[in-house]
Amino acid sequence: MPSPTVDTIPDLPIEIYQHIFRYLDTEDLLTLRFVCAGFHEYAFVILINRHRGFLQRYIDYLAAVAFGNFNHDTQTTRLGMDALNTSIMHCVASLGQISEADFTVLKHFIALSANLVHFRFDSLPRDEGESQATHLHFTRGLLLAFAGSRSHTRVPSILVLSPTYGFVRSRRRAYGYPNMDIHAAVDSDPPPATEAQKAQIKRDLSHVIDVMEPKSLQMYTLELPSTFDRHILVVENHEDIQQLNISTEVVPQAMWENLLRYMNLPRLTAVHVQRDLNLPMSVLTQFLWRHPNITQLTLKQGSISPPITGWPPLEHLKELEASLWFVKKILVGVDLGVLRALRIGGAVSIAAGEPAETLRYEGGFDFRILDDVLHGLANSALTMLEIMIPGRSVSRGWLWASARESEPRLMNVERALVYTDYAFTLEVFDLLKIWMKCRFPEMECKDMPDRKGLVAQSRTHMQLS
Amino acid sequence: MVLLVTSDNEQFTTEKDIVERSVLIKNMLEDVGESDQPIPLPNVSSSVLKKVLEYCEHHRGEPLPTADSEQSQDETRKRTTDISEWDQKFITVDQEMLFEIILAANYLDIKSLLDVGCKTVANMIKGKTPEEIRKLFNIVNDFTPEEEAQIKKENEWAEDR
Repeated sequence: MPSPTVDTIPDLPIEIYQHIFRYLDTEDLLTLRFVCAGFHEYAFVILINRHRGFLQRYIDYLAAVAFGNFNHDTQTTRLGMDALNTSIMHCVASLGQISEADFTVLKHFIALSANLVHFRFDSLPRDEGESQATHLHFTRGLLLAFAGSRSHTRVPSILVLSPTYGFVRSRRRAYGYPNMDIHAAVDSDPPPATEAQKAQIKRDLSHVIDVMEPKSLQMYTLELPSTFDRHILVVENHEDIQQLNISTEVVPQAMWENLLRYMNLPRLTAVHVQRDLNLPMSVLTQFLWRHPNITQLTLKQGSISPPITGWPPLEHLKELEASLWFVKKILVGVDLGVLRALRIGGAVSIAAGEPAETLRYEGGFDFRILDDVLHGLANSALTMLEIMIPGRSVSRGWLWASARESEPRLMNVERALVYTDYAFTLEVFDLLKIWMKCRFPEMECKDMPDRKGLVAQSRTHMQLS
Repeated sequence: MVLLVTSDNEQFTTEKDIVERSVLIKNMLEDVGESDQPIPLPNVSSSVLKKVLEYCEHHRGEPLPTADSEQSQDETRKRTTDISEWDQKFITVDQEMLFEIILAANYLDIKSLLDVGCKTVANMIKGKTPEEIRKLFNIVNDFTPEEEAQIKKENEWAEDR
């Protein structure tokens, strides 16, 4: 029998193995794991990617057996995970030696691991022939997996912003993050940006983020391999950023969705979401959960996407501007002893799946919700209130019913403004005057031109203004 | 006409629309423009290039696959045996030539030929035991008994998927 003319099949490049193995069924892939170490690894990657259940079961298996050092790769010890009891809590990986299989397993593992409290990976000096892009690929992939995991609320500042790309940390130094050490992802410091680049970056950045009083905005650009076709912008002082203006003027919505998932701005106090966005609410609420100290929130976004997840308690919130529906949701977690200014917009804000009765009112403005909100504010420390409500006859029924009720009185309010986007009818405007007088009996009330609204101010406030 | 030079210094003259089934060569021709300069193919031997050109000539004029036209992985897997009669006959070669063709198709970026080669290898693997696969491809079992036992254990979690 003639002997095969090929020495060994494993001489083929990895991508060809992957191409071949993709045509195989799961049973064949499981068989391939026994053939040799090379086949074992490549088949495993496809199995993990094809069947998420595999990974979960695999992790369960690992957690169930007593082991000190997890090593799924049978050739060398490339990846170590320490298991404590039944939960894997510490994970250490060396990027310099990590294989694609390790990377795939680790990435999925991290994403699924609820108890992971310590995650560290070291980027060792590059092996010969290993491209910078490979390192960045691993670094970025693992960071994203970790940041996107259920441990995300503990993700520290790992921020590089770019109007055109996501993030990657590139400076050669370890960061004192609480649970993440990032060593050099590339092997040299990027050169400082030129003045022209700085100007360009500042101009671009101003649309992304309103940087309030940056002490020193140090920027570096990094020329990356062809897979990264733009400069990466590193904002050194992201810890000083206090205000975030989220708009699609320069950064497209998809990019914001990515950025908001991972951004952590420790000194952030103000978030403004502009009307041109339609962010999934889970992205925004997840971001706010990581930034519980904000004092100003403007949410001009008109529509919301289900599922509507819980809003974080924003106990330091002093100013809130949002449409009525959002206001109701957000106020649940707000300290009404701290809140000072509230602007209720009249924009449509009806979520898919909401009760149909909210649609009964023109523009989706549900006056019963407004009643709820105003009752809830009765004992608040609110000093400024603005309400934009639908005009003409839409408000008539509600004003007719509630104008003569004496409750709730908002005793601390010093300035109240109720207006519409177009003129109220004469009848509705008269009803509005009665409503204002009942709510704010101590205040001076003035008409806005063309019956657009009413302004009520306390005498103290008038003197001050 | 385009002049190609193989790793063993043999020259092949072929028509442009045939050789442009290779994305690599197509891009090279676009980069250099109209030129009589030979295109060196240091990773392809003359015997392999002859086969590759035979394939390209047979499929000349067929639309090149685009990213949009690529099927999902699942759909692709279902089509494992979906190799045309001519392609099957064409790819009925010894193992060395089969892998050389696959490598050349990968290097020259001829996706349809790469697919044919990889499907053929996948079909050779299908349904075989580890030992049969080792024998087929002359692979040495580099596992220790302990490692084999570990994989067996690991595969237990995969049984009830």
